[in-house]
Amino acid sequence: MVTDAHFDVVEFRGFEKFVQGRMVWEMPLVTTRVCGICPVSHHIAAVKAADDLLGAELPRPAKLLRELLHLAGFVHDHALHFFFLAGPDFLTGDGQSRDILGVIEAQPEFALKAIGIRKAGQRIVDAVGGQGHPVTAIAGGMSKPLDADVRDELLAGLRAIVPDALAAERLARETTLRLLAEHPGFAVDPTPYLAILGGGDAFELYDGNLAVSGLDGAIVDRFAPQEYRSRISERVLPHSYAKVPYLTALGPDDGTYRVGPLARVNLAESMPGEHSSKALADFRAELGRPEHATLAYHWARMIELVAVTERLEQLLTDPDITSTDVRQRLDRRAGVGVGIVEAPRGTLIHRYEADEIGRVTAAELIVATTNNNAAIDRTCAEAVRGVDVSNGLDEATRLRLERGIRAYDPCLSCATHEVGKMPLVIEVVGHDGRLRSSEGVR
Amino acid sequence: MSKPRLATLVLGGCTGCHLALLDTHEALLDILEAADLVHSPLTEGDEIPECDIMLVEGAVANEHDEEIVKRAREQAKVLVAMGACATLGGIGGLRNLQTVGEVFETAYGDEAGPGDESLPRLFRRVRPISALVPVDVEVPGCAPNTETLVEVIGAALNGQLWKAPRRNLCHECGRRHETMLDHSSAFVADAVYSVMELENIDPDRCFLEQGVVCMGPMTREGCTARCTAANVPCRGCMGPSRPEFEQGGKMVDALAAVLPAGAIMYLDDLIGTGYRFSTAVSVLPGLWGEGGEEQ
Repeated sequence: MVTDAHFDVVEFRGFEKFVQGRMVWEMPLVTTRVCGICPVSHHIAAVKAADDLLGAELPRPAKLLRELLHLAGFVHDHALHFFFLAGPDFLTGDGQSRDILGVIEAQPEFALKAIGIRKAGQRIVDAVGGQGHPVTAIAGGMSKPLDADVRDELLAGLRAIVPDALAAERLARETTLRLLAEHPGFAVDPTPYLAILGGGDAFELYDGNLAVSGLDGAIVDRFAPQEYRSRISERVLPHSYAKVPYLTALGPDDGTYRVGPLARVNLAESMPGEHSSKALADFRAELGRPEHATLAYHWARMIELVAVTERLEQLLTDPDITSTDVRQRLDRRAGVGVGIVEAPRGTLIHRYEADEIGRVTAAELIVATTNNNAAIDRTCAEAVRGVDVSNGLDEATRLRLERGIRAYDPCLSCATHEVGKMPLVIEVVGHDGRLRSSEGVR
Repeated sequence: MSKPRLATLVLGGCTGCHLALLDTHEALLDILEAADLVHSPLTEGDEIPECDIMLVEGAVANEHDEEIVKRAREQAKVLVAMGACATLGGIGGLRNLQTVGEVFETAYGDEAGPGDESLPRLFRRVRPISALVPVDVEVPGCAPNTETLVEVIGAALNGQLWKAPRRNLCHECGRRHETMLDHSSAFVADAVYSVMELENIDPDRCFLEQGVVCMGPMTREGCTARCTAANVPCRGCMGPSRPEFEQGGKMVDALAAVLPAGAIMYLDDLIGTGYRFSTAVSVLPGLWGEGGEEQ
């Protein structure tokens, strides 16, 4: 009988070490390789950290282009997760494989919508960012402006998928409510939440100060990005390459928190547009504020998709978006810089120290999913506790485990500055505390 | 007759190559009509089955990667190394200049790392997959262009082995030269600059003539020069234009006729710019290594 289970990440690459000696303005290009799913987020967090270090003051059009690129990265990513990564768990039926092929077979209409949404987002990333691992966000601004003709194309492409994004939110709502009804009490985890908030505590993904909520949802702390080290510490685990961040003030056991769509939806006072505002109100009417059920991440994620499409429309129709005043010239200098953004999976922190030539002397990356490490660990334990595993993991248990983990949309590549599928080891620990068996789950 | 069996795999990589494949969008459905996807990170099933075409992304970084890539070679008729990590070791190869202990020290404050034996042992050096198994097709790029991946799969489905183009990036780039090709004893710039230091980043003129180190001359074409088109210099992700070239060594060698060599090395970063994706296949780890155990 399982008495405990842990979520151990088994891959590691070492970015924080091997970027030492690299030029700090290259970090937006190097760190995109932390993750091929959210390279845009790393590109933007890194360039913000470089800007901070070098004392950049961006012209307004540059900030708009940065936000445009950053948000475009959410479009493909959230659609990918809901339809093709987690989606198979709830969009396929008996007789279909529980994967992307099964979704294509069971829900061909939705599969096509998902592909269309992804394509519209990636078109913006390619046009504004230069390519899949984006290159155009440079210290001081952007390497090139956005052409008006291209802007028109991107705007048309975006508008064309808005109905599908709205349909995805409705489907996520229906699915989440069904899952919550089918699995009452599963992975309901009261935690503090961390996210960036905009003016008036509005939903914000690109830039702003951080807010932390207590267990009742009220904001208990706010801090500027440069202050994060006074608020967040990390604990090393013996069995995992991923570390566990926690709120320093509350300590390693009580201070673990959650980030990502559920955190952002819980914390935000308002959404950028009409549809996302309605969706947020609906979420709060149906569920709580704060809502602690892990399965609610799925609905929150699609509310974010809608919010992002609305904000992208605002950005693409802003007259400054095609301005040619897109950068400020900068000189190299020594310093420290912090860049924080909200990435699809959660708060993403880049910090660099550089010398007077511009070489990185120290780097720290706290990457999105890592922040949820403790929570994912608890969900795993809950999913398998009390189960008899003498014959291996039965299908129902495996499903429950995967359902819990997938709600977080974990990107383990990022979490250890490395990438993998879902490298996961289940260790069965006997009552005497000794390790009985170790089973890989992929 | 049954459809050809296609499989894909991620080792120590970022899954960017798989995303490049997914970015075929609707065309992916056509690929899935033409072939049976029998194994991938996105589909059910842990065992690597027999297959006709296997695309492998990622470098061999730990013991587990070695096991998997050897199994993949056994099971696949055509093995394709997809992307910079699989073909050159990729950006993760930069850790070959440190010991595993030094890398762990930075991440965990302890040279032993998290310490537990259940974690797959990291090799001393990250390696491309060709260092462990024979590879049939090498597809460079970080990530390879989506169109290239479609060509590779299409060729393999037709029983052909795709080959990468042979020339350097300058052939695809199209920026104009004003001074570089003149025979002169003067450098084209008095120093070396990062793009952020330029007053104006000229979108049409060769980066070298603007004093910016660009890896184009040392890098294989085939990516459609998307970085220089985006108004930033090439960083060599397609790998050296000739496999025999030391990409960073060639950088100093080739560019020293155009830019001050000392400035190239001092104001830019020989390793991070010259060898960003190809450290693992360069002489450097051997120079830095502590000697003795290779892996």
